[in-house]
Amino acid sequence: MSKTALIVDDSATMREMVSYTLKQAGFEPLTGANGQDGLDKLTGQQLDLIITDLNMPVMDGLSFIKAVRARDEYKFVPILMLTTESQVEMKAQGKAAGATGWLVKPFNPEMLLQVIGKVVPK
Amino acid sequence: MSDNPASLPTPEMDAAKLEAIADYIGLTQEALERLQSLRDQVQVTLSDEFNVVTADLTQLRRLLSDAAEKLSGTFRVVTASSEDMRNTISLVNDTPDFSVLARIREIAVEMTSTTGTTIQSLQFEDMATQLLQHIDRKLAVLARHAKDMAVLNPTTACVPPLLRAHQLDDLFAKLEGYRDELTIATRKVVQQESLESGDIELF
Repeated sequence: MSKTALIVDDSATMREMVSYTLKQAGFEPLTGANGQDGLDKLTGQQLDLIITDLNMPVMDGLSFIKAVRARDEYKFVPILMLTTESQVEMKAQGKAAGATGWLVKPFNPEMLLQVIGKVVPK
Repeated sequence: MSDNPASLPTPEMDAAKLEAIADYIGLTQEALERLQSLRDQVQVTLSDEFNVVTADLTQLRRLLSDAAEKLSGTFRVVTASSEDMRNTISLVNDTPDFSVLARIREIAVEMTSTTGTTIQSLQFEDMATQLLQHIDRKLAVLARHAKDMAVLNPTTACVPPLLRAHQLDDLFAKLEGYRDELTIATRKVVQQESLESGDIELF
């Protein structure tokens, strides 16, 4: 059975690039254009991985992660932050919100899949 | 004198004029000094912020140039690989052997690697968009700032703005507000100068 990943980013290009990369690794990608849109996709959906941007309209990545972690069924789903931000304070906020890891854009597909291999149980 | 706040008069140019006219209309020395100080600070703020916008545009140009170079490169590799693949497949049809199959595998690996570079390079769009948003936000604040401070730069030469103390206070407060807004609301999130892959940290 294929694994499912939710990709949340306000850039359509980024959603497409991440989706393509995850499909190569056997994931079925779902997408959201901002944090709220991502939350709307969570209704009972079984997820193995979430990848989210930080700066987005409507709901940003930090608020999105906090909202996800507040739901029992998604408490332990790995969440990777994929963002242009590289400031230490922002990373600390991401960690405190419940992110599993922090990747600074642009991502290299091979390296992204290596990271996913580390955080998603086989 | 121009209405453009970026070309506010220099202290040297206006000091003598301001002093002469202040004597005439009875402005105090203190008010004159505050007025000049405000003008200087506005000039510095505008100059600093326009430098930030210029730096953003330079950064954007580097990112676009890097993306164009990488994507042109991957395009050339993909088209060459594609032709190589077609030729090799025709060999399989004619004389199938293991060396030809191995060559097809090599081409496939090369194309996968090229796809990876393409994916990495296409992310320029996201960073360029965020940089442009940063520039837009800066310019929006600067436009309001310039409008508010236009009173400091009257169109009639030799006539200083007739501002009362409380109006000067208001302008100083506005200047402070704009500085805060420019610092906080227009925080820059894109620091990348190229499309090299970014750092990874697992918590």
